[in-house]
Amino acid sequence: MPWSDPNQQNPWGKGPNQQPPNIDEVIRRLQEKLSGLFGGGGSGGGNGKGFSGFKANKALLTGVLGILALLWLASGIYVVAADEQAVVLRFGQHSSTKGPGLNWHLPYPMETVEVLPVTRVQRVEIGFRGLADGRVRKVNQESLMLTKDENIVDISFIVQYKIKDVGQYLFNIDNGPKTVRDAAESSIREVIGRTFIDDVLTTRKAEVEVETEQLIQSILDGYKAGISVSTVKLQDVQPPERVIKEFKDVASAREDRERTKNEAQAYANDIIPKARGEAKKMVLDAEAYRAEIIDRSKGEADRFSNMLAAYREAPGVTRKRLYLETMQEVLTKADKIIVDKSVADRVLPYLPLDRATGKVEVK
Amino acid sequence: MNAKQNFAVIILAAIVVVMSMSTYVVDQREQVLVLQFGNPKAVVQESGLHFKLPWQSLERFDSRLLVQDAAPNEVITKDKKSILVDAYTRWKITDPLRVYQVARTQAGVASRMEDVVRGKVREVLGQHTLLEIVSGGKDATLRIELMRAIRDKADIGVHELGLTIEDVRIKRADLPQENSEAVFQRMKAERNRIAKEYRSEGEEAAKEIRAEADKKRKVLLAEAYKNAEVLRGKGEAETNRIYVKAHSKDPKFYAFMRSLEAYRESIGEGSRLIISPSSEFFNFFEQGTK
Repeated sequence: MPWSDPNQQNPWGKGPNQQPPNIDEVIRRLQEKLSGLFGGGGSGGGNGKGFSGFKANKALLTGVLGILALLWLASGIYVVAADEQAVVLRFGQHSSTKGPGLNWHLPYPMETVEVLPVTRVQRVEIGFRGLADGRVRKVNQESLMLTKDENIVDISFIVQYKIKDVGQYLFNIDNGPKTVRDAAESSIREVIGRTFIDDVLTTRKAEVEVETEQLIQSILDGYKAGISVSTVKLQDVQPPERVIKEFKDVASAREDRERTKNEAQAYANDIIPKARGEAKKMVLDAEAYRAEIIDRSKGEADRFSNMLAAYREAPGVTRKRLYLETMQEVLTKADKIIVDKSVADRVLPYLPLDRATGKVEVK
Repeated sequence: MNAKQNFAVIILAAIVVVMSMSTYVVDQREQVLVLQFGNPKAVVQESGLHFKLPWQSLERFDSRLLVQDAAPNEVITKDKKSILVDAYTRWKITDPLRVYQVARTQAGVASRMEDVVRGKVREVLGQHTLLEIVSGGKDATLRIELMRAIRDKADIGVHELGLTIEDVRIKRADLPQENSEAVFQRMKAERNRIAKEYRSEGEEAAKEIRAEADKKRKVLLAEAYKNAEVLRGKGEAETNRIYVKAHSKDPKFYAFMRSLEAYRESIGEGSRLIISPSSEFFNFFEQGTK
């Protein structure tokens, strides 16, 4: 049977992109087949075999046409995935939008369907391209840009976006990803062009992201592109390769500055408490000295007063006793030479006084 | 019967062919120019199913906002510097008939439009300095104004091509290679200066901190020394008062006692005394018991 040929099965079911010439061709083929069938019947003349053959062919023809009609209708079946939406075009005109699930549209050429990933977050990479093996290739003409203070900075970033309005996205612009990319490139340059390089490299990254995002969104809204930008994420912000060494040196100089300061601070923290301790010690020592000598003098004064009181009770005897006791003590310890006064004047110069260590007393 | 059926089928097929030749679909994303032997007959911008004579042919044009992204364009600024400007254009075909007449195809008209935009970019940016173009002037709005001016001028310029320009946007306004080199050199010099400044600042701060600490230490110690001396002096004065108070009760006895103590303290082991036996201590030594 000719229609069981897999290449001929369901010629309508190839989807909405089918072009009119295919229909013409199918009709032509159908005509060929039909003329072949009738031709076979005609050559058989009026015999019974030919007649029954024609009847069989007629039934076959009806069946084939029926199957064709069914296949044609079935070609309108399509599936919309969870993160997609389908825009149904009736004679090229937006007639309805269908959500996820199994759907059916009027077969070609009446209706066609455009399926778009609506809730799927899509991204464009600017300044770099992620390669299939996970590595990254830099795109310098995208990533190098001038800052407000006429420095060059190297920025790569990604923009994530979603289709906000399928109708706008489909009918108003011709290339969604390219539209986002162009808007992003223009926006980042505008934002960086009004920012100083040191701010871009350090504190204002978040602001740059936000401002760029807003700018891209406003450009896209101006195009009625039906796109909503969800994030702008700076991936890599650094000085250009040519001057990266100098920038790193600035960073290390900043650290040097802190280190030098900290070292000096450590010195200060070392010597000042020590000095404070020393100062306290000096004062305390002086206080101790003061207390000591005062107490001593009080004790001594007291002793003297007592002695005096005792002395006054019997001055002569006490005086004598004290004198003799002292002399005894002194003379017991000392080497003594007892020389008569009259002799002393003559002898004294010859005594080996150089051996004397203690005091020499002459009475 | 046989021939009749055959005939019916042929008629049916003919109808289908004629129908397919005299109807056409205009998509919402396009607009169509109907041509009769190459002569424009009608412009159809309405989407949907339309009819035509079977021998008429169609020229389809996009109706969406289209992008034209030209190669970077070298522009001489007002201050005679040259920059590379990469701008893109968003445009629309508004008059397919005009487009067909001047350029036949969409691609043809796009290149004509690009020439117009290129010229307007040169014209507008040439009236401004490099810095204004790059950083957008003082309040950063100049860049936007420039883009708007280019857009407006280019839009008027492409009107006769059957187009409108919705947006011209500068993607890049970069310095050419030799100027970039100068920028890099300047950046290097600037960074070196900043690095030096940081290091000197560190030295400055460190010196100050050290000197301040040394000063603090000196002050602390001097103050402590002063306080200690004051305390000692006070103690000594007090001591003296105490002694004076006690000793002045009997100065003679004090002199006696103090002398004895001094003897005891000063004459020790190894002191050699040459004593006359006539001293008081020996009073009885010579005299005996007489």
